[in-house]
Amino acid sequence: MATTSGNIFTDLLNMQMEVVKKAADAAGEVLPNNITNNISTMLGDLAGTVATTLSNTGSSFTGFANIGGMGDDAKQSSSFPFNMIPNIGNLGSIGNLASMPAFMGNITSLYDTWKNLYSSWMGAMGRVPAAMSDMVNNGSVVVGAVNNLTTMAQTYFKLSELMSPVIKMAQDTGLTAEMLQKYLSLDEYNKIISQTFSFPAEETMKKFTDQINTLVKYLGDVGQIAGTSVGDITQMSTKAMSAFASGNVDEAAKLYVKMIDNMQKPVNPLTNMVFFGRDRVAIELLQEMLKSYVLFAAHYTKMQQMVFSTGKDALTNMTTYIIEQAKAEKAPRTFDEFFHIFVGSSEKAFDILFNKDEYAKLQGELSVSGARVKEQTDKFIELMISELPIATRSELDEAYQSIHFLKTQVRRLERKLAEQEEAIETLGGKPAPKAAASKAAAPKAATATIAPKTVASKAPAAKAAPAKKAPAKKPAAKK
Amino acid sequence: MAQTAEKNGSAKTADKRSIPFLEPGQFMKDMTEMSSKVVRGLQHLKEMTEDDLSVGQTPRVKVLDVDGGKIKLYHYPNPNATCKVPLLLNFAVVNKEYILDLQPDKSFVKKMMDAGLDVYTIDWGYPTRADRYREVGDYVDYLDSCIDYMRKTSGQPSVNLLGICQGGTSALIYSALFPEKIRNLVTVVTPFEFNLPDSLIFKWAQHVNPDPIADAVGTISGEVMNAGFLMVKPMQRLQKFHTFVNIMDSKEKVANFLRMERWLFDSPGQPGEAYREYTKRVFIGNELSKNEYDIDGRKVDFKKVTMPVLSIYAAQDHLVPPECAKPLYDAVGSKDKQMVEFPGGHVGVFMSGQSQKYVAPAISSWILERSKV
Repeated sequence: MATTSGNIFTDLLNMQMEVVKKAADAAGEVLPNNITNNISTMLGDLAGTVATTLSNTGSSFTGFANIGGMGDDAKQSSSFPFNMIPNIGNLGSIGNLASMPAFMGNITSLYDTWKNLYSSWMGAMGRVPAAMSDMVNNGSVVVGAVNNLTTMAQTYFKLSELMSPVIKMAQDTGLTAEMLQKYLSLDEYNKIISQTFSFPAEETMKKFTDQINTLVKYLGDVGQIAGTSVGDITQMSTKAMSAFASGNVDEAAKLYVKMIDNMQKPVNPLTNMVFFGRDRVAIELLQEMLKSYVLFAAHYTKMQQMVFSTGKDALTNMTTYIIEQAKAEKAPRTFDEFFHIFVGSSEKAFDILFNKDEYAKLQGELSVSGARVKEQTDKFIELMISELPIATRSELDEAYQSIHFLKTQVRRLERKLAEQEEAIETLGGKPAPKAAASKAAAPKAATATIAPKTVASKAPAAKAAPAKKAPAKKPAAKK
Repeated sequence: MAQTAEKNGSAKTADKRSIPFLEPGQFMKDMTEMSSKVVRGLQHLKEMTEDDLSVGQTPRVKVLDVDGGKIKLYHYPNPNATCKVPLLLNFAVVNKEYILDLQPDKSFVKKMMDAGLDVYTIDWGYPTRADRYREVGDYVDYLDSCIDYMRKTSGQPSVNLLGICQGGTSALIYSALFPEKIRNLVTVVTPFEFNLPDSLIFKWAQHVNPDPIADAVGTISGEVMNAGFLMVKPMQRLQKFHTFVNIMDSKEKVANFLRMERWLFDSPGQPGEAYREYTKRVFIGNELSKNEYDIDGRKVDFKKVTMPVLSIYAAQDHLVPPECAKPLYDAVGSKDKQMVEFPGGHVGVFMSGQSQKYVAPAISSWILERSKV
């Protein structure tokens, strides 16, 4: 290949930059606004790859950092409806805690961070439209495909970034097995793994634990009323944060839970705290909610640790495999070949992880702690809006339960009626009505509506009719 | 500072000779080509419309609303139907039934119709929070309504029932409860044995506590269900989109790919109570395989499944592995029963070219032979 710059690397990178520019233009033309950011990120990563590679090759090429206005984070509004809650300041009856508007603001932020973490884990496996109608109306099949495409492209180019120093070495001095092992960076590899699993950026996780810490310290401030010193609170909080930072998440979780439990202390008549009624419920809910956040953070962090540790195994497997292949003159020569080796070795390593009881157990704990965060947060919101003239979700759930119960009863009665009618006809010696018709006579445009029939033969009387707000058939009984 | 693979100990044995590995020129060429493909792909996607991705094109008529219209029974009018016993295709509640009629050249429905069968399908809809109290028994009731409608309109005392995946499990439960209403039963990639410690989904399920999850969310979203299924092979997603980029020059291939993506992620949720029951009693309790399952006190005895049964499983199915589906064969009481292995994966059994060519005709022949009136 002829070179214009004297360096094949620089030439090819320049070619790639042209492609990047075209991609940026295409992205602007093709894509709805809501996914332009994703494309921009992908292109940003690609530009980053190019810049890194250029840097490795000694080029001074610059100017790719802002292709298409990339990298601007969309401002996200809070999904936590605290702005709907009236008289938030009036929760002042629970002491210093709720009289601080900042406190509620912090809960809002914490909830949003949690939601991002919670959904990113699922989002890793692809974006899922809410319903078919959405897909048809706004073309989200294509949008989803573009999003997935860009995510994959980001990972692909990040993988090329991982290989960049190795390629440089191969070009300059030739590549030995030792160099291959040395220059394949685990940190870079983990970035790819992180992207594959949609783990949040390190700073997001730190933000999450900071937010938890801030809230627990607020509670600690209340605890101070009951005699816990500011020094004690600060010391415990610092220890917990330190434990989190060092990866000792179980220890951190224990410390936080202890701090949260200490909040029971101020709830007594000798302080200014009100210890009964709605405020007491609010305090207890806050305690449980924060404990759930702490447990979720601990489980999530442990999950990340396990995945990263597996990433290390996968990287080792991959390099070992490549070296063995190289000895047999079968090492990958194209990036695509290498890509397949990367996928295969990673899949193998993660299969081992996923098959471990420890992983399965942790996954179960993570799903439960996530569910508890949601359940307790929902309850807290309900408590806060209880004085508004709107039905709460719990009240609607009771209505749904009653409706379900009544529908079931109707089905059973209809079934019984049909059986009795059939029996009467048989007893009367009347011939059973001939089958409705051939399929040709089946209703065309018209739609028949009949209630489904019950399977069970259990007598309807065995179950009491639902009392107001207390349906007879409570799902809880099934637990 | 980056940690490196040398810390793993294998560096001690590293070879000092130069190894042939990725060639720099080739590397950059690959990267450039990939970038170009991405750009071209974006341009193709720009031209793609929803019409290009339409699914379920075989004409059908809604004939029955169930549960206030949330669930619908559809009939495919077939002037060439020769079989008087109608066939109900029952797909999983957590998937959409249009996969069976994804596109004209990949339509299981059309294959059945071409063979002379009178075909119906159920669209199970999208359960909302209002449906959170639906139980497995409710779904069997809904199925019963559809089957009664088909019996009445066809004049046949019984119908043919074909269940796929979770739809196969409910078809099997139904057949045990109402054997007189089922002429022939076909189960395709149907989970039955859930005590499978070596199979990921079944292993993970043992550690799931459905109570707080069902309580918190009411109806388990399709997103959550999908995440669990897809997490079994996380790297497959990368592999899949690598393939996608490489087929982007063909609009037809892109459309085929996207139709499948549409179906894959168009997943209805699972009502909380049904999820709770299914997880506790079927996944963890393994009550189906133990023949201990009951619905509202009525025992579901698989020995009462005495109609002819055809059971098809897929050899490379990582969601419903062969050892999960095969025990169904011994569990049913049928004397006329057959078990067939398909050499492919979970979806391939009813969607692949092989399936269209061999599986669908084999199923229709098996049904026709046993549906003479």
